[in-house]
Amino acid sequence: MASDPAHDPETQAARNGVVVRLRPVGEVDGPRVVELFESLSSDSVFNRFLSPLARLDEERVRALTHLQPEVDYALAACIDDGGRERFVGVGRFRRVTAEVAEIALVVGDPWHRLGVGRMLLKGLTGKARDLGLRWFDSTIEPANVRLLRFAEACGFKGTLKYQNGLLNMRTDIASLFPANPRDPIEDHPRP
Amino acid sequence: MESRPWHRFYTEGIPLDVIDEGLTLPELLDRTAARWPDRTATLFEGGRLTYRELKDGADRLATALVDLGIRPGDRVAIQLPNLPQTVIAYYGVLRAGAVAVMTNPMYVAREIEHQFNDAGVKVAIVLDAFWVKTVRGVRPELKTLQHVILTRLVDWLPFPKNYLFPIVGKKTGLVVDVDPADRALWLKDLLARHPANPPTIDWDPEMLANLQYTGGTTGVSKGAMLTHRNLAVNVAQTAAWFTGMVPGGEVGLAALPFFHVFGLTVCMNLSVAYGASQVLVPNPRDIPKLVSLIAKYRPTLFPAVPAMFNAINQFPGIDKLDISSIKGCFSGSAPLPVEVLERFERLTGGKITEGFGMTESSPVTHANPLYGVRKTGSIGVPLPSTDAKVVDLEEGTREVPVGEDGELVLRGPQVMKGYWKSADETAITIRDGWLYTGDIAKVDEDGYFYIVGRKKDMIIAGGYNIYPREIDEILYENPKILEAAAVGVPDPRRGETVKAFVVLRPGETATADEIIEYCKGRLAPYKVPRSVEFRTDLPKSTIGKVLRRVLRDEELAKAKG
Repeated sequence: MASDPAHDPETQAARNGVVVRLRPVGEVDGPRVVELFESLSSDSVFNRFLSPLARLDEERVRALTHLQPEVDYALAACIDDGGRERFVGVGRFRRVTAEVAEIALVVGDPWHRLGVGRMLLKGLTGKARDLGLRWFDSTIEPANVRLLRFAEACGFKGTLKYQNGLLNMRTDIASLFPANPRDPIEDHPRP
Repeated sequence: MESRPWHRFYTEGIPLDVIDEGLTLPELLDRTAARWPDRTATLFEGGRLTYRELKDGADRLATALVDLGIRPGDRVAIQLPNLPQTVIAYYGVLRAGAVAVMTNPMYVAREIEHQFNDAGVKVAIVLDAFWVKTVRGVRPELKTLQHVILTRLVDWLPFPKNYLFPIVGKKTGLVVDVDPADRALWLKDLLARHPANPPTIDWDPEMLANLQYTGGTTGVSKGAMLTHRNLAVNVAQTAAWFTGMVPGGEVGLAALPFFHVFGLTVCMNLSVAYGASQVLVPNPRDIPKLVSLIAKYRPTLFPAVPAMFNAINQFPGIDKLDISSIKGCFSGSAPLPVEVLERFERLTGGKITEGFGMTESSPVTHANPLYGVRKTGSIGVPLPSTDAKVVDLEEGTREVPVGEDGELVLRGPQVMKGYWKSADETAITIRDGWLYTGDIAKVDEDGYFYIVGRKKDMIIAGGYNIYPREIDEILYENPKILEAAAVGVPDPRRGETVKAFVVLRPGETATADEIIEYCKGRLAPYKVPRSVEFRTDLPKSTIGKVLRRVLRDEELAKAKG
């Protein structure tokens, strides 16, 4: 897995210097997806699935790895872990209409605050723009303050609507990653 | 306080601001005991405690707690139903300068473990039956607990009930044997062995009085830090609303549990501050008993939840009983149907004021004027010294126009200091001095507020807040369950109740009763699902997020027929 962040556009360095490579999720990635799930805290699981899943069953793993071309797109952030590839985060979206896709991002808890989420979102944003998508939709826990700050730091513009205890967030894809981005780790707003 | 639209609806005698006397709760008890020493403080099964005796008991307990090593700021849990010793315990804890952690007697071991450890409880005052049933089993997990003080139901019963009760109580599980090896202390013994020589405290109303546990916005239980000022001022605000209340002359029916902030403030502390006698009701679900107490003791004040008013309305033969002593009621915790209000007022001749509050605001913030303009479906107007507005749901920074939905935000001396050891959640809940309630509301041109929804994913059943995630987590621990979602569904008696939707793992079978039984050992009774529906799949978004609201919408559609 030797890659040089300086020369490989899909390879970047995380804040701790670890090389992170982005690549699409494939059908053989079931075990890596499960391993990533097992690195999530209960809050991270709940934020991702809106349910405190105890484990990923076969059907769910299949849904997360067997993707429909032109409809699903999933990007994994990978590191080299003692000679084998390991997922430290996955971002994905599924096209709902010609212009709208539902998006979700998850980063394993040991790799929070290293810029992995930002890398994934940037990769997804690029792909979404290529496909002509205009909006990302997401249903999130209102108390997921970390995500709200992250979105703001990435240039979020859009709408937030509350419904039955959850927040429906619609993001204008064109607004993400403006020319002078705020650093999501160092620079996010404090109350 | 600046002029607000709702001020013109304050009836005569209600001030725009209450006077903050800067007193702590123990100082309020001292004042009442000095003013009305022989007035009945509590009535329980025919037994009577005067304010002199209440103060004496609290002072003795404070002395005992200091002997046990309790210092100002230390946390002491109280897990008792509404009994005379509960009031003694609460004021004794506060008198020692300690912080009370009121604990729901229905909690199971897991819930007790979380609350006691999170609060750092050093001493727990517990009913012996609860100790044997639950707390004892989890004792090894309680990391900071140093002493357990037990009390029996019989300890403050008058003769001859104190002799008869042990015979009857054995059959109902209310009389238990405590193993001496538990090395528990006994409250009555402690009071007998210690003089009324409480420590000298340099009182400051900003000192913490309670860590009152609640789910906040996320549902993970955390302690709302309520100061003496928060609680004392809220007593004054509530008392100001009941114009016509006679200090030293009222009788309150204390059916709301004292471990809940509504009962704590509007029953217990209001009574103590104003010298009211409290008729204690340990089991408010015993409606025949509740009704007999009303007929016997003729209470004048009756704070309650809608389910209680409704149960009394429906009691067979209630029309033939004289419950006309009741002159003022406060209804909270859940919406009060107008037909329930009207029938209760017809039966009693009294008035119910429907209001609103939350643990984080001690709790009362709004109420309909008792003798003024009451608007059906409204939580009323802000209480004296309380400000409120409706802000946009997205950012929460812009006040929305009259009639538009938004988030209800509050400001006032009753708003908590913050959440215990949860700076992040405090920061999203209290911003620029405003408490963000998580409730969706609107306000009319008169300043009457209406709750129209919740930002929080929460179920309110019988006045209790329940967070679905907590129930889901328990269900997921069952090895037979693949997926689960707890949902609030309409219930004519409780307002809402919990229904669990369950997907079993391939090859597994289970019955609804089995799932409910499983939950009973792991959740307080009010959180246990009342029904279970098995599904092959749960509704999800396109990328796999479980959509509880779809299940809820289906249930609402079914309820509408």
